[in-house]
Amino acid sequence: MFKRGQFTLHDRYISQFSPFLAIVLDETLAGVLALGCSGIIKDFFQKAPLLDKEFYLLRMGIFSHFMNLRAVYIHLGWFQISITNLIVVLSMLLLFGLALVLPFPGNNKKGGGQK
Amino acid sequence: MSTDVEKEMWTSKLRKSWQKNLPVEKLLPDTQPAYVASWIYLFGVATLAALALIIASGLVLSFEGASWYHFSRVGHFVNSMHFWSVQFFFIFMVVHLWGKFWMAAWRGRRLLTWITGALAFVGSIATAFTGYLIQTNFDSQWISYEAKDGFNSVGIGSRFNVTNFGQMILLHVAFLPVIIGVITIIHVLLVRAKGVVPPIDAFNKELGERK
Amino acid sequence: MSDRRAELEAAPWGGRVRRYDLIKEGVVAVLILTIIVTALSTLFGSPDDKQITFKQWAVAAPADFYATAVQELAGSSGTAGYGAPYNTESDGVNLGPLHLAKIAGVTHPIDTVNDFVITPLTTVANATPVADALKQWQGSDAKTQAAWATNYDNALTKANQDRTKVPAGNYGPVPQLAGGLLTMAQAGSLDGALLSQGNYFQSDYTKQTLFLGDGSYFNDQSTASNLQGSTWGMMNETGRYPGQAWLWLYSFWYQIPPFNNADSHPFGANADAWIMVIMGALSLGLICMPLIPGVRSLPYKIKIHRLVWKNYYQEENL
Repeated sequence: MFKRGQFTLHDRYISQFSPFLAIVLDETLAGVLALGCSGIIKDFFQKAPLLDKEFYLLRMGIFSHFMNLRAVYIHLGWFQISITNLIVVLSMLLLFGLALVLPFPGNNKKGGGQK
Repeated sequence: MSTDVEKEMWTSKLRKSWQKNLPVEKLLPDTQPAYVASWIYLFGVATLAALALIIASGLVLSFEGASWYHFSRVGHFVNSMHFWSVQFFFIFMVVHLWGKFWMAAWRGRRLLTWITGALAFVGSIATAFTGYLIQTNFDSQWISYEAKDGFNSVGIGSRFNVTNFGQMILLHVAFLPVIIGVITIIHVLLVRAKGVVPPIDAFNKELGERK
Repeated sequence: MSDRRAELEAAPWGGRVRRYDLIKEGVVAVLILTIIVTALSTLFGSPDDKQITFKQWAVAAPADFYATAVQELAGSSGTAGYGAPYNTESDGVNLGPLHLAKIAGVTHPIDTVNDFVITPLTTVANATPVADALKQWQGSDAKTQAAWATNYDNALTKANQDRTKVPAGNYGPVPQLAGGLLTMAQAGSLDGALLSQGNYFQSDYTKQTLFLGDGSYFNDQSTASNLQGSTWGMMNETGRYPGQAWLWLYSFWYQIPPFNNADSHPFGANADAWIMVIMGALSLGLICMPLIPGVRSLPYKIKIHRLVWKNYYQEENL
């Protein structure tokens, strides 16, 4: 989907600062994008179709193709949540639980503090 | 200067009250009570860290304008930083809120600390919402179309018009961040001035109560 | 709760302390979070579905656009009959006897006939039939205009939005006007004309957004992305990105009776207003939670604090 050299860096910041850096960055990012959108992603994840909607050409992010596929939802009667939102909610609960249970370092020395 | 005159001065009154309530040792202490020993205490500062990232990435975005990130790879990256910082901001803030609720952290005349924290939460939701409205993409088109009905239904829409991009961008980058910033500063200063709330059962012995 | 306890809890801590480097904590937090956020940004980027333009709408769904243009002329569109703050065509939703939108008044007046159709058409050089239609429209009185537009709107609806199947009738210049607007939109010149309304600077997109929403195309796009309010859309984001999960409670009310049924009175039909009130009250409740009896006692009854302070309680035999 993405090929090396397909992008030209329009970022005036970088190209004005250093054309060389701009080319290096451009090539690196194009490489990363190409890597992300071939092989692994396509084979394992591309089960859902892309929405019939245009995307801005410039989607940075190795897994941005995957992230822009049709979202997957869990339905339970009137309840509905996207997998991603579920991950966010569960990670909040997990963080809360872990914060309460995990031992806090440096607290085991009884009386280690100063009066 | 005579002490009587000094007493009446607003400036000296403010200085004295400041010195009394929030001396620099309280503002930047190097110890905390022994009970401040749980990972849950990190979520307040984590929320502040996320806010710092939001402001930093937001500043870059504001220098380049609302449409920059559609067409610039650097822009998209900065937008992503802004986006993910906001996600973490809310995740951390909610865990912080849960933690403080179960600690009943409003005890010991810390009501105002709770109130400013809750206000910051509600205000952050409003700020994030205006951010979603100025993405200048399909999402913001839809959110503004859908949300107008809610605000119109109670008359707020007559002054707070979510489909008015100019109004929303000004509120998002000027008014609301200032409000959030001020509330956050008051919240943090209150925490420092009042100290971290002691454990619920900390004084059972002194009070002769059994657990 | 004794006053003595409150006093002890408010007093500066006199017990054991431990070293605690607040500034280091903050700096480390910023550094770690910067790494995490940079990683997520590099891996996943951020959502950015391209905005819908009138050109896109008119090209992809010309029949829908055409029918919407006719509705704007006939005054049968969602915007035309909205009420405050756009016009006075309806009282809007209510909270019992309170029509808050109506009380707040028409602060963003929209005249769908002129703002959406006629004025934009006058900004371009039209083909002869459209130019003639425009002249005929502008030369007639409001009553005639309304009759033409309503006749055609009804006929078009009966023909399932297929304008080739509309029987002949007293439609005046309405078909030509809607056709002219369609041509204009397909060429891409309606987007700018709608926004500027004859001006140079403009940053208020109210008119476009409402016109866009009057058609089905925009709504269909949103349904495809699961963004409709009736399906928790408020929480969702385009693609697989996390959305505004913190709006779950706001979104929740729209999913349950009576609010999920727009035909049920008085609550379902006025769901927007009632849910706004509920959320306002709940937000106030959160802010004042320490003052609410029952809720404020929960931390004493459900002793999660024993986990937070487990070390301290152990050390102090509490």
